[in-house]
Amino acid sequence: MDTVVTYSFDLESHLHQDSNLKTLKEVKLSTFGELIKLAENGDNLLIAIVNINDTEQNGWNLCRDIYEDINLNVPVLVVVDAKTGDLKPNSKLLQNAEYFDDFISGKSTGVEVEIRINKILKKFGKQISKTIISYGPIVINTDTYQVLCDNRPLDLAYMEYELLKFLVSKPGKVYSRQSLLSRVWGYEYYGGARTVDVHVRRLRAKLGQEHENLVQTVRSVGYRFGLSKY
Amino acid sequence: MKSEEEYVLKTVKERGVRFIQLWFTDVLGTPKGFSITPAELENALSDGMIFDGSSIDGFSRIQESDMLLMPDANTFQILPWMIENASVARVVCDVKNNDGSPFEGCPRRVLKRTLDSTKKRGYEFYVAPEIEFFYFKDDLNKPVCLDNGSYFDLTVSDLATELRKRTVVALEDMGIPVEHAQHEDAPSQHEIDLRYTDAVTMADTIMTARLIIKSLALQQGVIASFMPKPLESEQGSGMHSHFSLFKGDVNCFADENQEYGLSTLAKHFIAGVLNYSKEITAVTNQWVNSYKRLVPGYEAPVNISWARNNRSALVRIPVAKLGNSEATRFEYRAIDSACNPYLVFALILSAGLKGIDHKMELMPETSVNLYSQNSETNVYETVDPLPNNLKSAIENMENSDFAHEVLGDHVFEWFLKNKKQEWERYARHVTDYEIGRYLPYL
Repeated sequence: MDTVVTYSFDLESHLHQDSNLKTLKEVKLSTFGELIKLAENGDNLLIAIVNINDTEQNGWNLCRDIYEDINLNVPVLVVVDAKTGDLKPNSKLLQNAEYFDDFISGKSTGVEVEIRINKILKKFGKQISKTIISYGPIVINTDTYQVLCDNRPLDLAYMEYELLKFLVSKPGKVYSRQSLLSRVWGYEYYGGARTVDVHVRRLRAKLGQEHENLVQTVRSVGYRFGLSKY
Repeated sequence: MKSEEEYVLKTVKERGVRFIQLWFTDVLGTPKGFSITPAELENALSDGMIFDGSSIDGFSRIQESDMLLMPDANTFQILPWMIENASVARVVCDVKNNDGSPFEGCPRRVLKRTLDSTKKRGYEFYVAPEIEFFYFKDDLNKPVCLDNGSYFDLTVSDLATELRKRTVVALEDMGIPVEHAQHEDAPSQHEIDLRYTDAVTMADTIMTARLIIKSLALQQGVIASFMPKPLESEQGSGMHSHFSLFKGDVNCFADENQEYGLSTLAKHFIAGVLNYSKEITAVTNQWVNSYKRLVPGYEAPVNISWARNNRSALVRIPVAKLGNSEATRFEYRAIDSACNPYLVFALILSAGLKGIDHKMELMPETSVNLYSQNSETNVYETVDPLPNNLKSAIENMENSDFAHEVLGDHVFEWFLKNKKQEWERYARHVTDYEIGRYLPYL
């Protein structure tokens, strides 16, 4: 699965709401060894984002390790001090320049982070597969039909899967039962609009109490996926 | 390949499922099945699996013993427990003849046929059952209760309550939402109420739920039994079921401007169900033991009647909250938990539709409590009784063109033959009751 690894950096909080990078799995690491393990596990490592406290050597060593491991082929994006974003006059950025592929200031906005990442990926010939849809705790791989909720696989029946896929790909929008029926269901079903209710309940049961509110009932209209901001 | 089939194949691969159970149901409602490996799955989904139908109750016709199981990929579901450390999934199947044509003895087919014609008329039929059952200690000779709890009791940390909770979690993991689960009236008796679905999904679900209830109990060395009346002086296990008819978002049973909040169509429907109730009792209550539940005094119906707040009636109309017309429905209270749900739902739906077609007139509401009546008063004479034993139920069914039409030749004939045999075996049996009562005195 497409993975971004981060060191002392929270990618998700730096992305804007509709960012296509939100579909990526973000794994927060602290050592180089953990990165190797992930690679061995078969994760498709797209990029490593390393937050550097400019005066310390640890972060730079990490960048060097990733750069020098010829099997990894993982580009490195350096974030210069996520707290202050200050580039100090005695910065080691220049002397370590060969160990990273690009850098951003810790003060960078979401748009900049996204553009830099996409540019690096393009340069490395890496593509974000279009088969992952995610929202909050839910990650759907439409290629393998697998659904994770809080990294736990969900055992869905086919129509439950189809309904969830539809809803997750269009968060925040309200759909009537009739429109869900015509968009998600084919012709072979015995129920009518209430079949949608049945499947929503089944989905909620499988999402568990913690996440059942992701599928919200909009009274006398239909359903909406995603957490309400109000 | 259809996308639901691809979904099944990829899920089996991704999740490391080792066995896929193919489930189907015989004519008496007994769950049947066998397992295949992932290697056979693709072929099974496209061409079906051949099996020998001659040993399945209700399928046997010696000259055509090879039959085909066609998995319904939409029902594919990973089971919430492992078998020998391997993930196992199930898929519900339709039974077909060897040439791929539908097999008329398949109960799921009987229900689907009924639903197809209902759908053509623009109706959708929804069912919500209340499944009652007992937990007993693992002793096949006599029913020994696990607890002495009663209705709604909050019994503390007893095994049965723990089991019921675990069962509800397993059902929800399977995508079977549970409306309520509670201790029932009798000791060791429990009830799990399921949320409505369309009828064929619900029949599949009931088969699944019964299996989960039994399996989880067995894991604890406990027997879960759907026997209709295991304890003579306690209530039996019914499967009161709530039915409603919709057209899209509109509940066809509801009309707030009419008496009882019931539409004219609902009244015709219920009249139809009451009209044919005698003829379908052999199916809703298909065992000799079923009729020991249908006796006065235990909240089980004995007469053909309907009421709003009278639990002794055959049909109850729960009072829907004002403005909640979605909830308007009727409850049929004769059915027991040991029925074949496919056949029962097909018959009740068809009876209701006949009621609509012939604009049958709904009898007046029964307002008296039929149980509290002293048997010497004539209240029972004014209402028509349900069959009170299997023999009488068989006779009522045998003369029913209606049941014959709904079930089809194969199921109708086989079912009657099987039930007559059961009654004959029972009639010949000399019971403990007779030995205890007659041996010393006669």
